[in-house]
This record gives sequence, C-alpha cells and structure tokens, in this order.
Amino acid sequence: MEVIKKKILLEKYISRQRERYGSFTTSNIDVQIYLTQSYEDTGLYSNASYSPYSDNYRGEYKLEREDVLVPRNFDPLIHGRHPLINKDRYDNEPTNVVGMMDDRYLNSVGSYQIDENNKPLYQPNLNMSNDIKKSYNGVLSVDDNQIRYVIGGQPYSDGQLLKPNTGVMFTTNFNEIIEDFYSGREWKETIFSHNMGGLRTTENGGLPPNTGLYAIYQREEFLDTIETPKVRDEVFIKRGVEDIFERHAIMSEIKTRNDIDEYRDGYF
Amino acid sequence: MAVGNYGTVRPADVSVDDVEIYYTKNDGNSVSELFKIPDPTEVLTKVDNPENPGQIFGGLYTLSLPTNIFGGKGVYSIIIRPKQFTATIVDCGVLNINNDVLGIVLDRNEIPSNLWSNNLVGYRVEYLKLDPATGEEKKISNTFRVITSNNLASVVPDPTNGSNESTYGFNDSSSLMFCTLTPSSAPSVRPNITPYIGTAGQTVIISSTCFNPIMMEIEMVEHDDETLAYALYGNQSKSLEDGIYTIYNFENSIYRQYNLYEVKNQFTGSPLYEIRQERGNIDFGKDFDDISV
Repeated sequence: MEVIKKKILLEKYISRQRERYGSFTTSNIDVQIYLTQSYEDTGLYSNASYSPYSDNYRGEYKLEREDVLVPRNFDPLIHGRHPLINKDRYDNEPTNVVGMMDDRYLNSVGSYQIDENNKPLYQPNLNMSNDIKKSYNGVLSVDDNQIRYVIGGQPYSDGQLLKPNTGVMFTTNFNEIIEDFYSGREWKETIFSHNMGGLRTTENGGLPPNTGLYAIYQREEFLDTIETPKVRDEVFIKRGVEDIFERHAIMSEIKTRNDIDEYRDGYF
Repeated sequence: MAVGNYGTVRPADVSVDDVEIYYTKNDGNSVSELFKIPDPTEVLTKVDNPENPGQIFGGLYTLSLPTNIFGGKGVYSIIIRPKQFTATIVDCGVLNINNDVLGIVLDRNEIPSNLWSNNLVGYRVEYLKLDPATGEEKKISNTFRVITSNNLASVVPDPTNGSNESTYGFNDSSSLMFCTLTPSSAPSVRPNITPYIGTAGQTVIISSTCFNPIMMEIEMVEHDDETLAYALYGNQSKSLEDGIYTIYNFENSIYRQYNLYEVKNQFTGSPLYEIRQERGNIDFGKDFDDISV
C-alpha cells in the first residue's frame, strides 16, 4: 500500500476577520489524490453454453424477475451478459464501408459466354461462385458505362437469388481508366461498399447469426497464456505510398508458406 | 499461441460509490480507534477532464476533509481502499462437462447486480473462520483467492462426475453464482490435492481490486515557516496606552494579540517581571489599517 505524507497548515483555513475571527473559513480542506490500478494478465477464457433466463424455471434458487434490477446505463457490449437483457441487444449496429480498388474481382463474375472480342459476357442474376448454395458471386446490372456486382453474398436456398445487404457490392465504371504510374498497370475505376457489418447474435434481415452468446469462464491452466493476434485480411487497400523498407519489413510477418499466398490477399 | 504475460498500471476511474474511507487520529499522545467515513461520496469527488466535462479525468480525485473531523492539530492516517462486502458460500462444486474446474457458489442476493456475469473478475476473496473459543468469526490470515469468472448457475445431474462435489451448469434463471478462483487447480505432481477455496456455509470477504489502496498521513499543524515569518517579518504594533501588542499577517489582519505588562513588588514598587500574555479577547480597534499612517 502506498503511503502519502502531507502537512497542512490550519492557519490557511482560519479567518482573521473581525466577524469570524478564529473560526474556519471553509467546511472542508481539499487535497488532491491520484489513484492507480495495477492490472495483470488474466489469460484465456473458455466458453460454455448456458440456459437463458426463463420465468418457468423451477428450482430451489429461482431468480425472480422482480428482484433483478438492470443496472443504470447498462451496455451489454461492455458489461457482459445480464439475465434480463435480450440477445438482440448484443448486436452491433450495421456499418457502412466504402472504398476504391482495382477491378480484379470483375473476372469472378463473368459468365462462360464470350463476345466477338473473346471477352466474357456479363449476365445479370447469374451466380458464378464455385458453390452456389453457399455463396453468391454475380452481376446485378450492367450497361455500356458501368457494371454492378456482388462478391461473397449469401444466396437463398436455390443458389440463384441474392439475399439483400449481403456480400461486398462493387461498381466498376468502364469508361474511367486508372493508371499506376509506378507499375504502368491500368484498371477500371471500381468502388466497393458493404453495409452490413458487425456482430449478430440473432437473425437480422434474413442474415443468420454470425456470433453466439456464451458464458465464459476461466480455466486456470490458461492463466498467463495469451494468444497473439492474427491478421486474415481479404481486402488490402494499396494507398500508393510505400516505404522503401516496407517489403522487407513485412517479410518478417510471413511465418509459413501459406502466408505467402494469403498475406494481404496475394500481395506477394 | 504464445506464452507470456503482460501487465500495466493505469489511472483508476473507480466510482466513488465503490470506495471505503477510514481514519485514525494521533493527537501526539495517543492514537484513536479506527473510524469509518459513513458516506465516502461526501468527501471524495472525481475530477473531470477539462476538455470533456462530465468525463472522468482518470486517477485524479479531490478528497475534501471535513473540518469538524480533521480541523484539530494532529496526524490523521486516512485509508482509502476499494469497497468490500461479505457473502456466504452456499456450496463448492465443479463445472458441468469440465469437472476439473472448481469453484465456489454464492447467492446472488449478496452480490450487487452490476457484478453478475463476469463482472466479479479480479475481485479478491478472503475467508473467515469460526473461532470456537470466542464464538466469533475471524479472518484467516494470509489466505486469499482471486475470482477469475462468475456466472449464474444451477445444479445439474452429471453422471460423469466422479467427485463428491455438486456439478453446476450455467443457467441465467438461477440465483446461484458459480465463481472460479485462482489458485484452485491441483499441481501435476499431486493431482488429488487441490488448494483451499473455502467450504459451504463459510463467510467470505469480497473486495474490489479496481484501484490500489493508499494511506495518507496528513499532519494538521498550527505553525509552519510562514506563520513564524509573521512574527519575524510581519507588521506589528504596540499600544503604549494599554500595552496591547499585536502581530499582523501578510494581509495585515490581526494574527495574534498580547497584553504587555510588568509585575512589580507590591511593597517596594520595583519591577519583578515583564509579561507577554496572549489575549483571547481580540481588540479589533488595533486593526493595522486603522492605526497606521
């Protein structure tokens, strides 16, 4: 325990005026203190399924709804599980991500038909993914100026129709050509967007949950054990600025041969 | 997976509701008994970030010492520590499916509702034991455990549990709370010997660890170098008519006042002593601004 020593002169708080001579000028003597918290690693947690709150539960120790107060300003995402908080309160608000990239994914949505120039024809509402029951890669609309398509969307059970707000939406403008002066590469301007981010513990807009709500507990053998964060990025935004040592520096992040393929979505 | 650990020291942002304050007074002759400030929120206030009013600055608090308690001369030892509460262990058990995970079971009636569902993590558990000689519960010295998780749970049948302990499964409808502790697992060399985590019916003291306790040793003094400087370098006056000697502070307010007189031999009239006697009844007619030119 820290011990702080301080000397206070009472004279500073005693009146020398005629009306209140010798009495305190204040009811409190204020001093500032600084409190700190020492925190140590609490290690890894395990999770287990749990039974949510039920009014019909019968047991010797029954948690009565009227005896439970939800703390004021309770935020499920911060304060964890609470018996009287519904699961949907743990869902994130949808977020919208917009960015610009090259047109590399355009090849993934082209049909097997080709035109007179040997270029693939783009057929709207045709799912071109490898497994049409699991994902949707296809064109939504196309004209002479631009094409709108989706990568990684979720299909309905027939594999043909796209569930709304799923996958990454791309818009490629045929007439806007962007050139990289360093590499000499050219591509068509492509804008991507995704507006259904965040965690879902319940079905939302036809989308299945992508996370679950569990009871977490500590297994003592995992104390002092932490897991280093891993990066698995599908989208890498090249900003056109590159440190001369960057290629060498990121080589240190490559640990396995698989990393060479996966790192920054094929950077190498 | 990497093996390692980490830690940090951060400014505490504890709510003043979760603080306990005690004090003793040493008046120079003896030390008083330990007193508790009934409502810490009346003497401790958080300091807000000046750039974001309402947002706690972090770490910095103002301790307002009431002058009716701390206004006398002496050394005050003020202990500021996280709040504690007591609870009774309802049962000790193991976790369903993971029978090697031991824990104590508490009744939620004794636990504030904002501490359910893993918000007791990091809290310290200390144990009381009944002393047969006195019939009082006494704290077991040097024994504590730290809570590593807490969830509402109920007893479930588990045929795979070979131990004598009850098996608990997580259940939000139950008013019992299963708390895992550390240390609680058996060493690999003696797998049947597990550390003590308490017994059913035992009272435990549960303490928050949301900040490190501190002790302030505050000495309230009547004089320091500044008050001595009043006497040395401050303005003074001596009334020749009535012998009142006045010392002023640096704001020219009356700091002390004395009567100056001589004690003479009542028979011969020869002076025996020159006396300087502090006046309790201040003559405010000797105000410096009134008498000086």
